[in-house]
Amino acid sequence: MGEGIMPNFKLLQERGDFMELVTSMPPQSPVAWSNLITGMDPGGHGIFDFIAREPKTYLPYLSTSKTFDAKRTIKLGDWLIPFSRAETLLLRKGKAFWEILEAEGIPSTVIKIPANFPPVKAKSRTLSGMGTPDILGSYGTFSFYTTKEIENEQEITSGKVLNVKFLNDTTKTELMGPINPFKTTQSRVRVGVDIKRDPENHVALIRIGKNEILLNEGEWSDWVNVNFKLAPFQTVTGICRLFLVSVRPDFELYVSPINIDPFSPTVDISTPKSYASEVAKEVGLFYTQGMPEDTKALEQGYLHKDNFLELSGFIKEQRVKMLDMELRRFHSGLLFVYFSTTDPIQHMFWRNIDEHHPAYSFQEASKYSHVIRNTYKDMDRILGKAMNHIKDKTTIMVLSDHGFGSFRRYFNMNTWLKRNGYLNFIHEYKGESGEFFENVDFNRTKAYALGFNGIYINTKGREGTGIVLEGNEREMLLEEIIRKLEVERDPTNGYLIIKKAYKKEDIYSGKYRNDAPDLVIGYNRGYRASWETALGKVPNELLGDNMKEWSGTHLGDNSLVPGIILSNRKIRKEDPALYDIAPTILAEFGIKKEKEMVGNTIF
Amino acid sequence: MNFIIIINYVFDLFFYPFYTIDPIYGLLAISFITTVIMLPIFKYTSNQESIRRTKAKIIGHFLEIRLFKDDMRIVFSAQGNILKYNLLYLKSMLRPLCFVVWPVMIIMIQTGMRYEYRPLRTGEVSIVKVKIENTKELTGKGSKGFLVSPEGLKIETPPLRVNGGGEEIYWRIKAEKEGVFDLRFQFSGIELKKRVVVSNALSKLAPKVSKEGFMGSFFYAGESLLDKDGCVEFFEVTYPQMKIMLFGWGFHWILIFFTLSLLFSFLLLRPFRVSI
Repeated sequence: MGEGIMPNFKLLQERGDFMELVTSMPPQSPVAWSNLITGMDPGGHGIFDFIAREPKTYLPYLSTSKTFDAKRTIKLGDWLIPFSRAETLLLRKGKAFWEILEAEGIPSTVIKIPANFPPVKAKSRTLSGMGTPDILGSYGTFSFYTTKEIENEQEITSGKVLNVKFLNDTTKTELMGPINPFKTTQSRVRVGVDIKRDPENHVALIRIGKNEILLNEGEWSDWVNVNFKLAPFQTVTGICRLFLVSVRPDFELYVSPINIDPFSPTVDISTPKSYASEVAKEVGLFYTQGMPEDTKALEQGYLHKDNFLELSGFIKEQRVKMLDMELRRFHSGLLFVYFSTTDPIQHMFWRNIDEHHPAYSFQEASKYSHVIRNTYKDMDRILGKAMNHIKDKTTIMVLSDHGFGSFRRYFNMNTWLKRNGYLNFIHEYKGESGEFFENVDFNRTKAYALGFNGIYINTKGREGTGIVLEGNEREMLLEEIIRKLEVERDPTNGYLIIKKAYKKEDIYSGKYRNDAPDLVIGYNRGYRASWETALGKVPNELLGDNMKEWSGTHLGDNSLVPGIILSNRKIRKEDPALYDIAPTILAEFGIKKEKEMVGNTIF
Repeated sequence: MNFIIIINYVFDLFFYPFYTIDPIYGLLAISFITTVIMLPIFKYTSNQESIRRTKAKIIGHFLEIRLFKDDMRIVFSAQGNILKYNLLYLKSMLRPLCFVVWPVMIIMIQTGMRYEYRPLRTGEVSIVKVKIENTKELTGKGSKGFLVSPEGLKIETPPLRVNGGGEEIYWRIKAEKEGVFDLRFQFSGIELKKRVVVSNALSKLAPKVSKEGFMGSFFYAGESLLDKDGCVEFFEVTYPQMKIMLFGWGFHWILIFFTLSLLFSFLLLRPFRVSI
């Protein structure tokens, strides 16, 4: 804003205010957005991290939603006939602000807000956002077809790589669908894919079901409908997009995660149910998947940076169309639209603006250092568009749930716990443990880390094989770990790794506080928990350079990555926080906040 | 052939008022006309008296089952009779169906040409396909076959030749503005044309032009057919499938056509004094 490249943001600041917005601790998106939605801290809404754990088994699960299979079924050979529906439940507790508005007769439209899948039952128009799965039930699994030699089919992180062989420039392969709930074998349904390429020209024809897609090399397809047959008269429809990476010498085709079709969603993705198709009719088919920017494909080299940027651009423009659609009919009430683009762009392109990042390269930076800046410029254009539609009396709030920083070095928290004697192995000679604490001896383990910011004390009576007594023993152990962690320095540069470790009792209130990790770790600038830590892995090394594309992070201490808030009204509260937003919205309509809400109006 | 041209003119005339309004009105009209044509044909080509008698007997035997449900011998015999008269009923349908099927088929082909697909909209893409009998000079490397597009259509891909000397060539085109355009496929001094319609209104469409012959003429949509001795088997443009929107749901036109025809048939049975 200071450089003058965001005139509309500047204008909004001049009309009202611009301040830092205190984010959640930890500053992870599901936690932060749950704070915003409910006006409570994590102790009240029960979302503490991307990942939660079953204390009895120590096994992780995604914290915001859970799917339960049909309860009553009958087996007929290898067929499974369900007599009840499988259910997906939102695990976030507390009332969403639009539920309260609705009860007071205030019309609301909430588009793509994270941490709202499946969407809470409401008459308001809502579209679920981050947390919405693809039709495989994952957070996004792409497929990649290649003629390059690979050993068998490879299951990679969030993707599947399939080897194809051409005969007379023609090949046949398959696209993987969801697990068939009508089969006892739990096998995946598949649909045939026929590919033909020209002997000379860089063009290929891809047939998926009844669809024929003719693509030039380096081109994205439009949406393609894919029907998977589960049983007679039972199909599931998804939508995907294709990107033809190369035709020859090696053929390479990327197929996006198969999104839930908004015209026939297999699970609820909107309220009312018809809203998803209403939006699709107006703006065309859209990404229903929670975080559609395929960072995993970019990370693993299956999408080039330029193509990732194209994809990101499609997603942003789709969101603009949704905003336009709703602005056209907006007269009163509340309209919320979430733009995700700034988040994945900063995650993936931060290393190009941080010369001290271990993966920084001048050559790459000279090509991509403008990307983040341009994204903000573009957000300014979108804000300008919205401001033109909105009348003077209407309150406008533009906010981000957190800020960003560099992710230079990763820290294996479980390795630190092991080295300090709080965690022990079953087989010491292995020297490490695989995912989900595979080699961890919980009979001799006092503390373990799971998720990106949490440490749990292996508490007797709570954990499956807990050994630490509640009360004094636990208190002393916590104090000891905090004391040691807060002085831990990176041997390569002498920097403190942890800014602060928080006891859950000190930062959370509300009836779900006991489900929180016992310690919440606030990492210092440049540091973050490793991916391995999140899944309960205990590798050999304690620290390492982050050489990944995923180079920007917000998983540190919340004081280092605050969000921002701009409004056309003066903000009176000195330290506005995410959990103040819900009470503020209610107050704007003259509604009292719920007694569980910890936030207060900011105006 | 003249007969087919006349039929085409008649249907062009019939559908003309419906091209710019909701497709459901055209379907309502054609379903009504179909019923009005079908019922008299059925009436005068069937043995109405025999149909009435057979139906009465079936009803009678159903009543027999209800009245004598405790007597298994009568119940079994009645069931046998129901089966027998049902078969007789079907037999009595054969003759009228032989007469009815021809006009219905013509109506369905003509209706399908207008309601099966919709024209391309501006900005939409379509795949163009030419199928050729094995002529390597057209499909192999350095092919001498070219697609030429008029202003308003853009060819977005180079030709994709299947099997490197095989039988099919594909292109992707994009509709850039509304209109009726002729795509031209040129080879060895010969030129073939395929009409492409870009419009928001209903249109008579034939995605495929094939070789001259009875069936080719049947699906004639005012375009030149291909030479029956030529090496090109067909020249095709894919159009999007049309969905008829009713109460917010999209239906295939055949479902609506049959439902409406059935409804009109029941309504007009008495005025036409027909038994079916």
